[in-house]
Amino acid sequence: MTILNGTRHGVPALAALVTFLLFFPGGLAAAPVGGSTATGTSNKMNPALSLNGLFLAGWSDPAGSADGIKAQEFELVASSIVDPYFKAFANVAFDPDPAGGEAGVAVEEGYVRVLGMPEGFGLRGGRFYLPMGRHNQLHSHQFPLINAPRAVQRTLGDESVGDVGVELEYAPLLPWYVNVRLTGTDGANGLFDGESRDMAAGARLENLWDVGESATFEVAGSVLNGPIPDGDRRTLYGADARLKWHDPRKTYGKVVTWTNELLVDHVPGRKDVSGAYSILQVRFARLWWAGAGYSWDSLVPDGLARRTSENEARLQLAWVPSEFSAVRGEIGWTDPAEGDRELTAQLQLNFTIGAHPAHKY
Amino acid sequence: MFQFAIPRGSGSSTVRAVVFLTMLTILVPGAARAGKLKIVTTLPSLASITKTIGGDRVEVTAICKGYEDPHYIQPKPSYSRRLRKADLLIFSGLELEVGWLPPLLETARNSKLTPGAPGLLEASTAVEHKLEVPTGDVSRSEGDIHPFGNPHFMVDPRNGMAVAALIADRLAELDPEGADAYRSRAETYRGELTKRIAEWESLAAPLRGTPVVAYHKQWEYLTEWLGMETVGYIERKPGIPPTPRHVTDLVRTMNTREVSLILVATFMDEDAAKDIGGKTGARAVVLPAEVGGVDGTDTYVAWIDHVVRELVAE
Repeated sequence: MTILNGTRHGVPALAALVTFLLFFPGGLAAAPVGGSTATGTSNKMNPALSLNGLFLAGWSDPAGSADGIKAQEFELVASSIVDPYFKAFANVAFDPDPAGGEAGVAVEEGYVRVLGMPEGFGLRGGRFYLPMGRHNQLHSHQFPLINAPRAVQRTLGDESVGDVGVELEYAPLLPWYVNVRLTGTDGANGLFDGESRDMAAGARLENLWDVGESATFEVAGSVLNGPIPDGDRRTLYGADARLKWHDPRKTYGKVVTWTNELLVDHVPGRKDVSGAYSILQVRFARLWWAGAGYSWDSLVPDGLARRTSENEARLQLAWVPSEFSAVRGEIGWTDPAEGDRELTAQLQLNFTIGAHPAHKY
Repeated sequence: MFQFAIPRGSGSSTVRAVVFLTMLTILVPGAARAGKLKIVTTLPSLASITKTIGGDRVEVTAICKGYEDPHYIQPKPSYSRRLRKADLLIFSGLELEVGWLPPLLETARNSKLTPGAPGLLEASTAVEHKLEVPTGDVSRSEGDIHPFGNPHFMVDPRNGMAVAALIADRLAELDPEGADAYRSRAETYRGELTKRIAEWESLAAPLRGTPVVAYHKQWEYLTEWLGMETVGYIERKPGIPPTPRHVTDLVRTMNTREVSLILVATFMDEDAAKDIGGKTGARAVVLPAEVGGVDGTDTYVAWIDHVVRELVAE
């Protein structure tokens, strides 16, 4: 998360959130219905607004940063048609209680999408999550497990990586659904040398097939390349596959989603490091989901680590009373390259208020 | 000024390969367009009416199957491809499809289906008498409510008739050469529906004033049309499952009001409906919520006919 207003305490971030809610035109605070030309208080043109909140309680052995109760994150989302030419989307994250003590406000995404592009093409510009792998395109409240898999954290960080630039998409008409995404971005995103004048370039190729009436299979490949110090460039490669099945004849029937992803990090002159994870999610009853994940990653030997690979396993049980709230409990086992093996238990409350846009498939 | 540098390391070949692949796919010609209007509807009932009005001048497919809950469609890649090729998308509206249609439209990237374009047609605009439109504040404390009104209007054939006229007008706008044919077929269809409505109302006359219970707020337009009275729901609130206490209260109400029918869609929990029926003596009527929901309901008229006959069956 890019911190815009760092502070050692969470108060300014909360104050910013409250201020935003109170004064954002037609925000979540009560606003007069209707309005008039004279007062300029009409809310007819206001964007769709929503707020996601995440609260997290954790315990770990040995004791670590996961211990305690905290307000994990609040995400304020606004989206609307701008004019006949553009549609806009923004996701502003408030992190009032971070483990490192650096609270702040971050624009995770804020971009405009061009309307009326030629058939099959899409174009957006602004700040957006880089299409590098599958998990990196998710906001925190969309994560299948409470935290990003360790393989993703090691390569991309614990939150998804965004950057400022443009993305061109093209979906040719083929017998299956294909989408090609090309990005050109500033490169100042934490992965590359933010001081360099060279830009970062990325590409992702997505392929989706119907598997009967109940399932969809997706295979995608990603590459992201950007400058690092000394004039070299770092390249990240990704491959991911997902199978999603549901019972179409029952509203609250069984759903199974199986996601797999491989990431490889290449820096010239250094041994490549890689990571992979697999996550299975099952809705087994109307309000209940179960999840399991396994993650593996390799590290560059640095003399401090016990070895050059690490493993993580997590089990989750979620109670989802509606589309707008969920309580997720998770236990985890981590065998890190550095330090002792760790057991964790976490409980997360996730809620959404307002008009939240449907998530992309 | 920023420099855009294509890397010369091992990454460069990958980037070049992706760029090449992109260019290749851009150059692949799209599917050849036939002369017929390609129309996608969200609901099978809208597809059935459109086929009747459009005749051989249109190709129509529906995204939702009759046995699926139209609130919770899982978007599939083939739906995006279908929308990409469409000249017209007809959807219910009133936020029935809000959970799945917007992402599909975004991935379809069809400029004919952008907001304000004639390629988007919201069927609910034909419905003059919308039910359950909130008049005050709305909040999700009332469950998964629809802030613009109940969207399950197609089960009232009087609304189907209005939607047919709306579709005929839009087809005439998009295909002026076929305008006379569309309006002629719409008129014929109106006559057929008018006749069938009279038959159905006569058939269901004994139900007038009958107290019923429904699983979900799905049959309001049906009960209003046929003069039935909905006295309760198995769901505690829309989209919220029943609690034991709610069921106990509902059973008491049903016994007091002598409820004889429980209306439940095929995709809802019919076992719960039958269980409550066993406690009250009410008959659980498992109904297709859309065209094609069960065998023998492949057209709009056949669907309404099936629903009415199931209600009056002994």
